[in-house]
Amino acid sequence: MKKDLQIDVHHVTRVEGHGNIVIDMKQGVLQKAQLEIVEPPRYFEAMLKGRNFQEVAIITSRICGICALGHQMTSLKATEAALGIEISGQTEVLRKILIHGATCQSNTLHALFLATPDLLSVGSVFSLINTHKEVVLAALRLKRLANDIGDVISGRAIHPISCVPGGFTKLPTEKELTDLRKKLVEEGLPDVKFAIEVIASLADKIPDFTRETEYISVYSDKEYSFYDGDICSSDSGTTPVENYLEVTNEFVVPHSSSKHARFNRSSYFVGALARFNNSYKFLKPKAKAAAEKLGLSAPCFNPYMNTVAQMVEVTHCIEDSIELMDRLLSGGIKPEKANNEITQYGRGIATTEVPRGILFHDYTYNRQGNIEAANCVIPTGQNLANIDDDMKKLVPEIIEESKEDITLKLEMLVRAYDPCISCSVHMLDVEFVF
Amino acid sequence: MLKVIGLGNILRGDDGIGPVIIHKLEESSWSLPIRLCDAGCDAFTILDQLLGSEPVIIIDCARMGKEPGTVQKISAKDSELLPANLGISLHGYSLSEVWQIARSMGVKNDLAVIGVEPDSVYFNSGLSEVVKKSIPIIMQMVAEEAKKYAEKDSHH
Repeated sequence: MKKDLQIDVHHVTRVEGHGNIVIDMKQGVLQKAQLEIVEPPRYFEAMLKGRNFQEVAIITSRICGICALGHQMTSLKATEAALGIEISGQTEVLRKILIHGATCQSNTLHALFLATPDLLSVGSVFSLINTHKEVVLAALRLKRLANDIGDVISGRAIHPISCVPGGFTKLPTEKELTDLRKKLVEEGLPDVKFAIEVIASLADKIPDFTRETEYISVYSDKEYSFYDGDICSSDSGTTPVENYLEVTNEFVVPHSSSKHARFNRSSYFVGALARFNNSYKFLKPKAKAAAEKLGLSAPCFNPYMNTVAQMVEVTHCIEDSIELMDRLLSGGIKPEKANNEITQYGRGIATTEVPRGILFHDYTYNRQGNIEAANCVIPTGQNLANIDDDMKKLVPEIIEESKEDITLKLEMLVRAYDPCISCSVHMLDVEFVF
Repeated sequence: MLKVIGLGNILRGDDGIGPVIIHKLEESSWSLPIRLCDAGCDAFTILDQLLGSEPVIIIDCARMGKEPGTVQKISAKDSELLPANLGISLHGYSLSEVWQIARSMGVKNDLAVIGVEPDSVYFNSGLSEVVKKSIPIIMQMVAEEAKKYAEKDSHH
């Protein structure tokens, strides 16, 4: 049947900025399948210009409420690279634990608050509260645990204050770390096990869709890396982070105010599934067991499985955090101060894995230690072309389904990437009723 | 004990009033029993706090259709928040959504918000002069709320 289909899903997300799914098929021929981003640019790079190196990470941590920690870590690393500031092994381990906390909370909330209602066909988290309140409570407990990690190590639950270029202004005590470790073992691991069981019981509801693409992530030959490493492409192997512009190749498209990216193909995938595909062998044992239970094996080419990969990662992050804490505690916390010795001025490029994928910060400092130029390439921008390519393959495959089912599958697809569309302002809109 | 939460983005002009007040309270020499939380733009932290047993007051920039700098205590009882819009991303959650989630999870308390009408939420701007002038008023309101709950606690 030569079908006509028009879908236009408007997702207005509060005050400003939104993404729309637009599908146009005429006589069975797909004319258009795209995620339109109409969010006004936020000019963060312009905001950083002229700022001193000591305040840059504080500003970048406020770019996003969900990804605050990831932006701050990447920012600190870019500044340290530009100014030649060395950090200690202890600082690196503490930062890795912080990133694990941030990954845990974002991945868990995404999987349980956004994806699970789709899999249960209950519409939204509101229905989930009625039918599966324990899932919501487990997600919130894991979120609280991540806030506790932030509180103990970075001085704040959400926007860190003790992380500075060169180290930390205040270190956690051994007792605080021991207590945190206990919570991870006694609360974190059981909650994530429960969450995995919930997702596993719904695995057959995950749409069966496959499109092999290029998977790009941070890669280290020592560990499942979030904090540091080369850029890894599933197509062409590793590239030093300094060459990131050759990988991202950002370009402008008419339907998006956010730039798209491409490397070896027309699009690439960043996020949990890319990390899983590229670094599976470095997952901790409980995480590997979780992957098996969830039916996820590397390489996986189903973008809907990104949510599943996220929960595997939550298991890994808790396991690895416990090991990292053991390492710190066995040697004792060294009472070191942040290194403030600047050895050069110039350009510094850094990457980390934030929950939604590989993030780049690129700064150039002048001799006063102020930023002359900045560039931030966020994961969602890198995923947009890939989402469009997924939709172009998916729509013809499901064209015989009802418009409602097609729309739901498209929404689920976009949700699987958990795009960061608008998060820079949280103003309350109040309408008085007298 | 009263929990005081500042919500907002310090990079967006008057939207930063919540975190600014938390910072001022941290530096103040008050002996009032309050716990402070700078939630930034993270709505889920608010949700976690709302589900606890302690009363919560939130300081937030609020578009109320009043003169810029106007400070008003808002209760979810006498205002109507926008319908929950859960959209396609975790970034779609704000106070309105998490309050409605907390309600549906059985939270019975009123949500008290000290709303501050913004003059500007332009990027890379600090607080406007009119909103800066409202800081002592907000601090006073927080003190009164904290006293009220401290008295309630002492009666129990």
